[in-house]
Amino acid sequence: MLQTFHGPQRLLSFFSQVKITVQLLGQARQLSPSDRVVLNVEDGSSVDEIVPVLLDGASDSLRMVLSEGTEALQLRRSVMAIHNDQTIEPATRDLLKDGDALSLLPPMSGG
Amino acid sequence: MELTDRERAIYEWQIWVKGLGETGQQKLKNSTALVTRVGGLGGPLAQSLAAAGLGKLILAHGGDTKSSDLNRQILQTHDQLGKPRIESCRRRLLELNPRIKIETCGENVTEENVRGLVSEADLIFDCAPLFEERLLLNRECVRQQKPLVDAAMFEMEGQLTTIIPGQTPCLACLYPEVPPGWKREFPVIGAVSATMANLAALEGLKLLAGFGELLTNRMLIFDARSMDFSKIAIQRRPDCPVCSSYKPPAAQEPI
Repeated sequence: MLQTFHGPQRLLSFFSQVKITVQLLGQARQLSPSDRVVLNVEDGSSVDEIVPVLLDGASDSLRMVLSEGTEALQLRRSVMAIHNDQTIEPATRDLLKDGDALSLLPPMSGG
Repeated sequence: MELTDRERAIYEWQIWVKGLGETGQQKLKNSTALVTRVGGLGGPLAQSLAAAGLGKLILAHGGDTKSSDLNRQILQTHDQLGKPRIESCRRRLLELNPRIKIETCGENVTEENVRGLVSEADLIFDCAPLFEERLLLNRECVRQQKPLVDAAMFEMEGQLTTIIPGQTPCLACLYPEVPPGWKREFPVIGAVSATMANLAALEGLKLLAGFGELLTNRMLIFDARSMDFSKIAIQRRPDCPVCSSYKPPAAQEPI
């Protein structure tokens, strides 16, 4: 199932919006109603800037797994952000382009 | 130690594998591997190592067999319920291959035993269900410069990477903290664990026998729902609390 959320930036910068598909893996996948979420975010957004949009309205358990920070949520350090088969730094801007896919992989330890 | 004629006969079909050969088989015979937690992952992993003729297995696993182990811990049996898991592990592996040596530790990895367990092995397999144990083992492998194959799973997904201290990211590069929200009990189908276990066993056999390409600086991600395998590049973390301060022996200051 695919869901679309519109971030608050949309109202401010409609013409610089891009669509990013976020694929949730591992525990995040189990805690979310959708495996994939399409987000409208400001062009050039970093992963850390996408996380609050992604988690707007999300359950506390999903927030705990994916994010840290209180006033401004950002990607938890132990969660891998994967883009084009590479891990990327969550704070780096201008990596994600319109139509790109981003995967978020929380660590797993099951045996 | 050389291979005996009987061993050549037993391992004949795998000796035919290009790159393994009799030289590789002899290396396996002269190798020791540590498998920590011999459950859903470690059980089938140890089974594959034993069948392949690894010389010595050190197995560390605490606790008694429970009913809820039996969907995935294939070295456990119904008649073993309530008895120490490690006994069944030893018995069943020796039934499979009586020529290998097995040393057992009836405890999980702890601060007290990790140094001794790692020091005896050429290669370590990390199959623990708790991050605390994995990170402890990782720290000791970096300290002793021992290769570590890290396999893990959750529900219908799995991941695998081979860690060579000083050359690849260590586990703490990937997970610099114990993630919150991880529970001791997690959804698992035994076939997913066994898939990751056998992929980990292959990494170990290649590393010890010296052939093939290792999964270093990359992580394999398996999604059993879609049967997708993907590999991602992973990097060392410059501020890694475990391996960033490590210097290879040649670069260390003289005492």
